[in-house]
Amino acid sequence: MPLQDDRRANAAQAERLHKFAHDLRNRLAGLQQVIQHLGAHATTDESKELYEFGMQQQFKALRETEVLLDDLGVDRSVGTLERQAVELLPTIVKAQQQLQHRFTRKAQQVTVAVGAGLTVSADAHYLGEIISVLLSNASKFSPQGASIHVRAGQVGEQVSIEVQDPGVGLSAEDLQQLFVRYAWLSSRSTDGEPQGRSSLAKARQWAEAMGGTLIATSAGPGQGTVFTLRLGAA
Amino acid sequence: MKKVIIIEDETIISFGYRLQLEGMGFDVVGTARSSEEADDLLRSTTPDLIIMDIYLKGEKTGLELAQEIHARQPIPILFLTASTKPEIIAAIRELKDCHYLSKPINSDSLEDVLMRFAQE
Repeated sequence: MPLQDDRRANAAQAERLHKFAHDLRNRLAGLQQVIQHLGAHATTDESKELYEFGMQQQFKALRETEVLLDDLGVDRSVGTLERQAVELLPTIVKAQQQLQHRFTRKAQQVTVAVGAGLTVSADAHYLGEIISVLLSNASKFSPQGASIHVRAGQVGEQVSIEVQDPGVGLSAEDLQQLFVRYAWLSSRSTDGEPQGRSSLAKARQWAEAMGGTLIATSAGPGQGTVFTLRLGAA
Repeated sequence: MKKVIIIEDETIISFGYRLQLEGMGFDVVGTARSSEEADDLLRSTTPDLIIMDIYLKGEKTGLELAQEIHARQPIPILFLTASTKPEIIAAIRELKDCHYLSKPINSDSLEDVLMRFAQE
């Protein structure tokens, strides 16, 4: 049967591509360890520039791998999610507590304005992961002493959750690349944290798998960023 | 201080994890490069947390090893994997007390997950 043969070939090709990408990521992970080790001991401008160049090349290789897998339709979805009514406030408070080491280190404040009882239709695990990614990102790209605001409210049949930071902001070019896996952006973290924002691509993937959306807005560099997650109300 | 063991066949990657973990205040009490070495190590050591790859040298995968470990004791396991296959991610999610991060590991993400374990 020609169709079945095609399907078998596609499955075999996908398996081979998964293995290739797996092995390549492992090689790049090893290189990353070496680059980071050298970066930790970089003292001159030249050696710091070399470190950044190395990290950027690693990101480009990872990104090109992901683009290839996308182009060839290789499934990297998160599978079936267990959607249920999840109360938002405890989820946000838990994520905040788990990231307290970051906020304490940078003397940052997090304010949460979310009504008790507000619930969304979501997979509890992945909702927690998305909130963690957004709070972690807000801390990383905001200065010492910054205030990060989390707000949520119902908008029609959806719940809108905003995470607003007063940090480094994003250029129009960075905004276009923000949710691309392993994109290398021009904005810089504020306390030497790793530059990558690869978790944001996953956060959007998780949001979309739950029937939601995740977007970012910024008035520009130095103007802070607002991330808006929308999910169905439960 | 929380005790951790690392099960990873790539020596340089294992060494990098050790440096990061020790920098975060964890006590790395052992490393293994294969499922057999891990079995030996776990006979003499009971860690608070195991960090493990999915594809190990030896006869067992990380998923199989995790099931065997959890049949004996509920030690939390953090999988660090370069695989993005949906069935691998689903299999990790089906295991209790397991979490995963994708390689190459962002040291920020590793710290965040480890701090969760440290708080539990």
